[in-house]
Amino acid sequence: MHQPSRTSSVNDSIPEFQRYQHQFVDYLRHPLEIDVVPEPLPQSSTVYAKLLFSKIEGSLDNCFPISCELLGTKRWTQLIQSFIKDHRCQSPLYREIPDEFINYLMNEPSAIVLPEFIIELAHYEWMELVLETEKATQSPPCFPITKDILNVIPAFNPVFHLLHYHYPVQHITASDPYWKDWESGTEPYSQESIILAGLRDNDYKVQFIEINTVTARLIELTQEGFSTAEQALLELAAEMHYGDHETILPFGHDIFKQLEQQQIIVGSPNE
Amino acid sequence: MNRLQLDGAGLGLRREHMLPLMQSVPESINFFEISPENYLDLGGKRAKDFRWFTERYPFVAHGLSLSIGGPDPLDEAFLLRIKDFMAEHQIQLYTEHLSYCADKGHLYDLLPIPFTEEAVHYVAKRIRRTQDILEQNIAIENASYYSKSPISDMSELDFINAVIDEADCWLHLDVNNIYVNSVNHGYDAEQFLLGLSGERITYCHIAGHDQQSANLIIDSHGQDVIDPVWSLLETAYDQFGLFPTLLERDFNIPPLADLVTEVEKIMGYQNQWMIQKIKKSA
Repeated sequence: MHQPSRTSSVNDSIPEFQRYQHQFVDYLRHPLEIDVVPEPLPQSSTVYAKLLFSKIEGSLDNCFPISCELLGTKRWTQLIQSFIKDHRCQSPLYREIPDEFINYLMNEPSAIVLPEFIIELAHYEWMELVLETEKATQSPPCFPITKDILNVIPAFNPVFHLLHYHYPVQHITASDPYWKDWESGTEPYSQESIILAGLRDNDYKVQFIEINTVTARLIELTQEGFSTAEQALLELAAEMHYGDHETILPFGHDIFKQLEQQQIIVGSPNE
Repeated sequence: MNRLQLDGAGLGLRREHMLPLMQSVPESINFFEISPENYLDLGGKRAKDFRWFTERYPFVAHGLSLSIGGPDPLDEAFLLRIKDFMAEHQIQLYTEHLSYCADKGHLYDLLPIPFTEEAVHYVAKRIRRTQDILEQNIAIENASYYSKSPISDMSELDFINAVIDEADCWLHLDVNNIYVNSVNHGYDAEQFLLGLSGERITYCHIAGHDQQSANLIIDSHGQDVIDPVWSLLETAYDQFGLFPTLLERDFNIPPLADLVTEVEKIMGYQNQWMIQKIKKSA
């Protein structure tokens, strides 16, 4: 029996062609849950459901090859189907379909439960696309460092992110039995703190460089305080209750030189 | 700088062809086209290479995601981004599909608007608003579609003509889409073409497609242009005069030289039209 509801009264107030559009899109978002194409949609609507799936799949397969292989075709397909059904993509940009997918994996409940390491791996795979295509933030002028690096305010690569993971995402492959057999493993994977510096270098190549927690903290302090390298270093020493300036200055000098060589630091705002 | 006027024949710019094109752009290519959705706020190598092209050639921005016929409110913030993008790259023409692609979220595909009187007014109003925001006329493309809505109360041809007339916008003619729809929905392609408001055509697309079965063609832009579609282009020129015409190729991308052959063929039809015109006036 037909029950009048709030939804139907809202629907009654919209033009017929829009009611039809909602029905059509609802069907495209979950075509598999319905055996036959529901009235009044024509049978040919199935063509659009297939096109939609293959478009989203094409974009995601491209961006997440290792995650896709580790999950296997069946589960990967189910995951994409639930993404299409449950997530509402806000970006009009096709290249940001993977951004929407990561947003979905990390922030929205999914019917497909994924192990934590896969979500981190997917994030790492996505970061490669982000670093390749990110528009560099408009940065102030930047000059090569000519004096002692400790005495300058270091300028960071405008396309650079510090990435914290709990699994060694950069070493996960789909062929390694340790990861490949994740479903049959009895022990959960042990967690470790992994910090990667992701950046785009002068040749437009994406680099992921593993760094330790001390270096990561030093980078954060330098970025936060806009202080010279030496000031950041002394702040770090204070945090670590380390009072021996004789040894920390040369130690820090070497770290900063290395960051410069790795193009994490690309110069200084002062000549 | 060598920015020519938007005229003659053009090629849809693909990343795969950027390198060979930067070494030498064939004479037959007068302009390029991209989707703003692929280059808006892009950084990195591809963005840098793209700038090389826009500094040297005229471009058309062929939109995908405006959802001009969609149920969500018109995304004016997105339009302003497009406007800035076009200004930055000196892009003069913006075109969009007569379709929709979102309903509380994007689907990244071009979906058919039911052909109804109500939809005409709705879409025309949104096109007018778009033109106000961009402060220029836009061209609306006749889209391909695979699924006929049972609630349509008018023909596709009447729908297109009514929308562009009421919106007072330009028509972006796609001769391949006419062919695709004529097979998928069983009508005469040439008759359809001749029924369009030809005086509003400012720009034209030609492309290939994938014939999946006797009565289903998918508009993939993944094959060479077939003869019946070339002949539609010839008819369009004969009937309506010349307009800048672009070859689209988005899948199954062949070497640049293969596409240049097709761009030259566009140029051939354009030259042939001009020769005939001169003969007639002589």
